[in-house]
Amino acid sequence: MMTALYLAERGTDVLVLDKGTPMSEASGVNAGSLAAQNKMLTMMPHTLAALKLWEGMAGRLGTDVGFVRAGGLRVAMNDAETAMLERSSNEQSKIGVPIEWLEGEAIARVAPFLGEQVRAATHSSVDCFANPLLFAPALMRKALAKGVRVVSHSPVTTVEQVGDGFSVETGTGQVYRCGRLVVAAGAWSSRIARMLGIDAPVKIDVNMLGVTTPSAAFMSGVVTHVRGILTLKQVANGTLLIGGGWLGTGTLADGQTGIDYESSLHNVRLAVKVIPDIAQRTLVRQWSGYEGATPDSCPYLGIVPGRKNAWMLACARGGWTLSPILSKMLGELILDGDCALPYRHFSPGRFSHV
Amino acid sequence: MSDLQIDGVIRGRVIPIVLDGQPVDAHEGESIASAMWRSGVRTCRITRKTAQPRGYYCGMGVCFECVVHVEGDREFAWSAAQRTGRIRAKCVVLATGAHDRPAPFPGWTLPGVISAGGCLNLIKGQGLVPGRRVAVVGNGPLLLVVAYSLLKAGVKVVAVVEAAGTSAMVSQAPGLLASPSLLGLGVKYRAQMLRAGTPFITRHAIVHATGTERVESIKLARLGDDGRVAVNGPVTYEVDALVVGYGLTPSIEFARMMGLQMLHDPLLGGWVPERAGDLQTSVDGVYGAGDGCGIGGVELATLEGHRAALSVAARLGFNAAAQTSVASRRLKRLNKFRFALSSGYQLPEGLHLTTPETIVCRCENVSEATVAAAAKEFHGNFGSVKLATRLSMGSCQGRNCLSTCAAIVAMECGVPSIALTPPRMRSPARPIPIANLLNEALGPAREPDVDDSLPIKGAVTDIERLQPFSTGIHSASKTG
Repeated sequence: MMTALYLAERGTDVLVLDKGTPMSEASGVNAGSLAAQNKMLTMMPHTLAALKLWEGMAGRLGTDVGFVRAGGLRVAMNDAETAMLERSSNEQSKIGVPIEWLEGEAIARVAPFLGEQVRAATHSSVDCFANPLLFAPALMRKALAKGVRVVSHSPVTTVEQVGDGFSVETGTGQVYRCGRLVVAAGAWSSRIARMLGIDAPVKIDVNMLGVTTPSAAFMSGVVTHVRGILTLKQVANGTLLIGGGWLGTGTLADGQTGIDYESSLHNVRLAVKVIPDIAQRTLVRQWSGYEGATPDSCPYLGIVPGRKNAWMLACARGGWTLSPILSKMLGELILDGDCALPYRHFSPGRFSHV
Repeated sequence: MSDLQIDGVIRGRVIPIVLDGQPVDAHEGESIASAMWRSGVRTCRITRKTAQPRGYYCGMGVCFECVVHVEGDREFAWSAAQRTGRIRAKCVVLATGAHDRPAPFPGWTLPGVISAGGCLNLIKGQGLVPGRRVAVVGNGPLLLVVAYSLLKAGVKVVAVVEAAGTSAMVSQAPGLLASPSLLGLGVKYRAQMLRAGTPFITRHAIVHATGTERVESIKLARLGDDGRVAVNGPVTYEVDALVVGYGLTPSIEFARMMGLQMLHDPLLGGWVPERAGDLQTSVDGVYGAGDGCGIGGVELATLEGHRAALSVAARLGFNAAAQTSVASRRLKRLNKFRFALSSGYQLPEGLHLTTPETIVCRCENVSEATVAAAAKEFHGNFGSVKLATRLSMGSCQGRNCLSTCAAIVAMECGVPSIALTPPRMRSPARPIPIANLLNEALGPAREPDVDDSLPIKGAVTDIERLQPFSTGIHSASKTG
């Protein structure tokens, strides 16, 4: 939908085919973290550019999207993790991420809500978060206002090349003709990529999230873990979101994601270790959703090899954070033939051994 | 030992399993399919349409020919005020009860407006009355119980207002005679009201409750054929408390969480788990009893509990045939009474007591108009309406509002509300203090710091750990 909006903003006629309803999967059920510190180094230039675009998102969409630039903390709980954090934060500093190292007294001063078991932490002012539940409908409304047409409940069943363009058939039996085609089907992208003759493997994770009852503000910013196993944030309505990519149950085939009790238990216990005050709160609901990931965790972004007018944008780790910049990059590739940020190593065909 | 086993392969310790009644030795770490193959069983399933035998074929989770039903104990994690734990059981009887059916109307969020169940809890559980001048409005037999309890406790009941008319009830007389004792209770309640001079007003409902800090007065009006109240010519009462009871709704959180087959029956109170005559649900070993499977009251719930226990006993090998036939007969009779009573009280047109401004989701303060607008915008997709309005996302998790909101969405989109897909039911079934989840008894304190085998995804921050992996999807097709 972000790609559709970008293209429509630049005057392109866009039709979106959604297998269900827009924003009902990962984009609607994720935790809303917009953190730089927990992203891969290769994706850091893109992440920093994305965070800049997020700052202007409310203006672009004309409504509040719950964007809060409250900074972020990344914690380490033992010696090995502390060494890992030191190495990683040094590398991040080198490429321009503002990072402050915190240990002992400094932790108590900057983040008194962190528990005694937190050995070290890094603070970055660029980390932030927004609210997917505000963002999703706002984006949808803006896209519609810009002339994007959205057809829901239309899973793509076949794609055929017709001249320089494509003929796309959906499960409803409708056939759509287009001059240019973008595959942006998230976790389901692999299937459509195969229709275009490439193998774009996608690993499916079922990520879990939990939310507590609201309480007075007691922490700020987004807290992440050096091993990528925890995200914590208190949002505007006072509720606390507990995430970290702990795996739930379900497969893409059964279409039903679920809660894995053991994993959710450990997720919550780790949260309490990092912020002991969380033990005083009440868990109201847990939920889960799909995340599609590529073998190297970088997105599939670019033209589909062997095709003239088919592009792909899917399955970036941290896709929610990166969506504004990746959609802009793809839009520039489609309309201008090139884009400013590096993209060649994101080729959708890089794992296709044709 | 099977002659199919390759020599020299080290196998895990023996775990005895039972295959369709035959004991078989499996090894730790081996698949069920392997244990079946080794013991000579080739047929895993029988096709439904053509009754052909099918078995192990692809061996990698693609063809699903080897699918078998595995019976295991069911496990529940529970939490009480001070203690927590996990429990395993061969059979489960769901006896989850019911809660008041929410019926929003203008002013229902005012302090002093309480539910029928809440009123009975105050009187019976706490020895308190809700006020000194109380009106009781709603629909169903519970109103009489509430009015009787209030009168007995010395409260002035200014009116009992029933939405149903009297003619339907009269037509159900034959069925009601199936339980003379319960019918007698009803007569006793009405007699108490007559003695106290409490007016019993039928075919009326509440227009609104007003007050500044708490409910002070209420307005009533005749209920029209469209299920709405006429705003003109209302009756007013001054009260210091209002009891509202528009029936009960079964508590089906566990039933939905466990994926039981559900059915919708207005006479049972809405959505309930499907049950066979022995009270077993659609899932083997899971039984249901009481109001959580259909509103029927305490007598019926007690009897169903007894009947479900007999089913479980029989399953575990006890001879309960004699008692079972007695219980089944009594159950049949009481069921007749139940359906007659709910038919007599049924409002065929439903109830529409809200105005566009009325708050329908109390937790998140969502008005009827907001839900209706979202229903239009998202073409009746209940999930999208929920995410856009935050309805049912507060502490009650929809117990108090989902049925009302479903009705609004359905009406807005011109579909029956039972056709809507309700949002997924997820754990926890009730909000749970996080401190309770720290209890060791809930599970081993395996933390990722000390145990890397836990199913967490690879840390995305550490580029060196990112190795290419193989996926089932990857291997499926290669072109060229």
